[in-house]
Amino acid sequence: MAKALSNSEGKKNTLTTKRKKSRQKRRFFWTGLAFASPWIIGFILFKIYPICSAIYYSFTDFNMFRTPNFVVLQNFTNLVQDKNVIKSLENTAYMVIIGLPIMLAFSMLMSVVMNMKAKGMPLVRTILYIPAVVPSMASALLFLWVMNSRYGIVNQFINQVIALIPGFIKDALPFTLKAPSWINDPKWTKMTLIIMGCWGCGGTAVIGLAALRGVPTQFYEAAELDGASRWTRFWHITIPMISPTIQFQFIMGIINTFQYFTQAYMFNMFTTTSQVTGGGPQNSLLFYAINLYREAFDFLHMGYACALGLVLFMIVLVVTFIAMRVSDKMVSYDVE
Amino acid sequence: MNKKKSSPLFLAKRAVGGIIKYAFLIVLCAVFLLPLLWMISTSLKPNAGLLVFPIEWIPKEPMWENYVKVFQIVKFGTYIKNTLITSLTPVLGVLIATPMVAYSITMIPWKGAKIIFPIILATMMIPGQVTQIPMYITWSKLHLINTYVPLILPFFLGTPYYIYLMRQFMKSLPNSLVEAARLDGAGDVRILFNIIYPLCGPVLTTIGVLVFIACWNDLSGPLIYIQSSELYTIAIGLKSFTLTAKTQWELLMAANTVFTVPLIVIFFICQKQFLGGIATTSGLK
Amino acid sequence: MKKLIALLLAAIMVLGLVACGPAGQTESQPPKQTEGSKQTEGNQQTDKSTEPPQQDGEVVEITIWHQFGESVENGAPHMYYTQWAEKFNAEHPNIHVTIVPAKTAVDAQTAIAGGSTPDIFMNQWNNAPTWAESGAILDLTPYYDAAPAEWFNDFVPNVLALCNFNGKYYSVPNSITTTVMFYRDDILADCGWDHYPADTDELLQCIKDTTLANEDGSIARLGLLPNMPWFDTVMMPAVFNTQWIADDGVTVPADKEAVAYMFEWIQSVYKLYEDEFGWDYMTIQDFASTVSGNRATASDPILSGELAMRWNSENLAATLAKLAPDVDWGMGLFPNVTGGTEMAMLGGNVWEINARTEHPDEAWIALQSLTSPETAVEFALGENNNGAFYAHKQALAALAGDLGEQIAAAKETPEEGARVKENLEYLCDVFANVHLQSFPTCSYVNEYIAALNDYSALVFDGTMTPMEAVEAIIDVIQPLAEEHPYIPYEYHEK
Repeated sequence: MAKALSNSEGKKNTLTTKRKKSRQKRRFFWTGLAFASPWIIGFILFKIYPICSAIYYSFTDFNMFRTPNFVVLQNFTNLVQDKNVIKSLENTAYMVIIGLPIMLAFSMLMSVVMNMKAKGMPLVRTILYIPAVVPSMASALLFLWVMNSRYGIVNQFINQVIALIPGFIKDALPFTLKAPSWINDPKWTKMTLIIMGCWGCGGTAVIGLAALRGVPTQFYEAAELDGASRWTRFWHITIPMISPTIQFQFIMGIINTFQYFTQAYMFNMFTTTSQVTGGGPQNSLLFYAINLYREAFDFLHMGYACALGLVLFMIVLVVTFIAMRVSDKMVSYDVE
Repeated sequence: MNKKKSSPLFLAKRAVGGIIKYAFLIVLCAVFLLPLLWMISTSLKPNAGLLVFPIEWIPKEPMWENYVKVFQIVKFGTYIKNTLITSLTPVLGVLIATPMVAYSITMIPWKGAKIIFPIILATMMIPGQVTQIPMYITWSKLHLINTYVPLILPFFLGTPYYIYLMRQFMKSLPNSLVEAARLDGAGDVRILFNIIYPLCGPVLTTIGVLVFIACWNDLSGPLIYIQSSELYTIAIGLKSFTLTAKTQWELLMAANTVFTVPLIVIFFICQKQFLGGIATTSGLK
Repeated sequence: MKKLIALLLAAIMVLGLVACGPAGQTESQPPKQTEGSKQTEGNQQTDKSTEPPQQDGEVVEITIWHQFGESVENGAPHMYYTQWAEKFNAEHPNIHVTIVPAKTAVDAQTAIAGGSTPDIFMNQWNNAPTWAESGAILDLTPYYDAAPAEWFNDFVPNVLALCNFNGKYYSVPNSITTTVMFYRDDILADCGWDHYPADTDELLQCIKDTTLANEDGSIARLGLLPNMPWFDTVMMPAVFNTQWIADDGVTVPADKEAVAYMFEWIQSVYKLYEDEFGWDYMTIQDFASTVSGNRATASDPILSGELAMRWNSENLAATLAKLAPDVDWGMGLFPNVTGGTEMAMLGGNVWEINARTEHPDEAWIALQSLTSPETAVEFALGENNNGAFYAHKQALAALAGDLGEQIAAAKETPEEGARVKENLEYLCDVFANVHLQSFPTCSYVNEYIAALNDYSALVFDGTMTPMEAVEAIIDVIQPLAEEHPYIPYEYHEK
């Protein structure tokens, strides 16, 4: 553009736009800084020191109370050989790979249900949200009852379904059909927690609902005129429109599931009564954060726990980075 | 078109669809209501076993005195007052600070935006257990242990989870909106609070409600930072119950009900609000 | 929307003002403030003075954290600690103690690591050695040495072993617990047992006799659940005449074969259920998770008859007596291994002093008063008695003696009263006369318990043989044991 203009005038013009631009840039810098200042202050005051000390501790034998001694990489070399770490990584990976997609899909389904048009929807929404506000201890206790293999509602239902299946099919199967032992069978315990997660998904579902509510109705009306089916509308309008929220839930899901703690801690408290933090039947609920907690607060291996934390941070960082890269391509922010 | 909509086949189809829809909703609600019903039912029983089969949903003689006992044993009045402080103030904080930071990293084209967002994400990846003690030391050095500041101040400094959520919502707002406002000479404060804020109504209300509920339920924060019983919150009161009443499930569940019902009521009232902003949002788009 | 926000803002502002009130005040209080000041940090300046506080007339703040809930119910621990504190404060003008409820070990841990209150706190026995080694709690040996003989000698000797780590005292006993067997006398009688099983062989037979199946083959009643309420890492070695650490202080466990046999015995109970009744391990576990939520309620499995026998800590007796005065139950020590001596386990909770306390001397004065025989007797009696046993000879004697009758008389029915009295006498006798064995107070006690829990479960469900599990436990614990040799405790009366 500048080239098209005469030399002297062009120079003058570019200079003013440049100056204008740099002035605007400076203005943007300062306003940007001002608006981000709450977080920056918080980060400097309350984040940098704890993070740096955690990193420092991970190279020491810190036990929470005494001045730490430097042990170089010993924590990290021990960590690689620790059977509990490997077991806890397996359990956590199960939750991320199998649990997270199930819970996300279910919470999206709940958002859609909450967004349905029917009489009494406010009440329905509130009811669907209830499990998310019930104190985690009460909901863990309730789950022991619902999932009880003998009397629990779930297994009573399953047993009735099994009774309906004709005998010859049962005989033909290579295994006997039996309602699972949700709480005591190490093969099922994690699934129980996943079901519990689905049932308490109100928080994420509400965020999804807010996103669904943001989809302009005109889009649906236009699509309906074009004769698009409900399903097509969902896939081609709703999903792209709420894709930023889905991405948010996906990324936060990864970050939080890697640190999965509270529900498992509560569950273990009631199933394994012991003086030390438990890991459920055959350590099937020994998640990474549970193991970390046990090392830090039961065994007082704070240095080791910090090393565990650092390794977890690296893993989550890499996984999140990949997930971000992949999902960024699918997210559309500006649908106008 | 009109003809089609009034044909008997269409009406029958719609009726069947309606029945299926309501049946589905009723079953779903029944499943999700279980915890509350079970809690209330247990709370009205005499010294109850937790897992008694078959479950007796409606106790023959409801023991209302369990609730009286709960209020007698634990200082619920003080706890509720304290809890309102520690859960309402953070709502204010989060509603001011979070949109500000999110606005900075989405709407303002400056260098920091690209640096800050990954750091915000990264801070969420560090397990809280390893930073717990250095955090405590920080507050202790500031002489703020045994005050509500450690429970409240962080919300005025931007909570990563909600900053991220706000960012996602702001990014889906048309950029032209902000640019147009800037050309009109509107300041960023005005853009944020007069243009963006109303557009994000549903999200903001959602965040407000979620923060309120999270703070109401928070146990670990008060347990660590509050050290005198006059400042205890209702979550600690509930924990007190598990420590004292150990196996008196009926009292524990009565306390749980008292603890939960206000939250359900608040959610019920507020949900209209976080659905209310739709018209404006879609209208502007 | 706007209305809501306006309303919210108004509410928050009002509350914010209230919030700054109490919270801020605590901070701004001058260091000399005594009544109501909850913070020892405020007193930092005063303790710099080298003179003892008695002389300059300043009052020292001592904060005591306990693990019980804040309950204003009569007889609740928080109430009698508060009452004790009032009395103590009246008697000691130089010291002001404050009781803070509902603070568990983990809360204390963070606070101590962060360098602040409490001065005195309650802890579980199994944390004491680890915390002592890491320097979290004060070495109390000099105070123990200087304490009067009547204070020291009144403790039940075995309990002091729980308070000792590597030859030094780090904690003061509060209450003691043991594990006892609860029997349904009527069920045993119906099944042809007129006495309690005398040893583990008889117990196995008794389990077989008292177990009952429904018509459809499901469980109607189990003789005994071999891990209810949990696999008891303290009781079991006592019963099977072994120790977790050998006398040399390094070899774990003392006797591999005895530990393997212990696992095998428990396994044999599961095998019995499988062979005789067709219930596999998972079925038994499912049953266990059904009944365990009803512990110490009116639906307790021992009261509902779902179990003929079970073990639990002794304080269940008080609850059972209260809930079901008409049910025919009794208690005894867990039968010892055939040919063994009568032994029982011992556990308890203890008081400790923060190693970073600014007033160790004053803290000790308070602690000594809190754990004096007189205080223990007061805590143990009348309204206060809630099934806890204090680690004092006088308190136990008072419980068993005339005052036991007083408690019994105060109960609702004579049957209930008689049972309470019987139980009290029995248990006091156990604490006083039976050889009690506790878990060695080694610095790796929590790792040891975790390993025992993990691997014992693998034995019971058939994943490992008993010997494999013992070897696996040794693999984990032996290196720790060699690094931290254990010094057994020796009791000497003053």
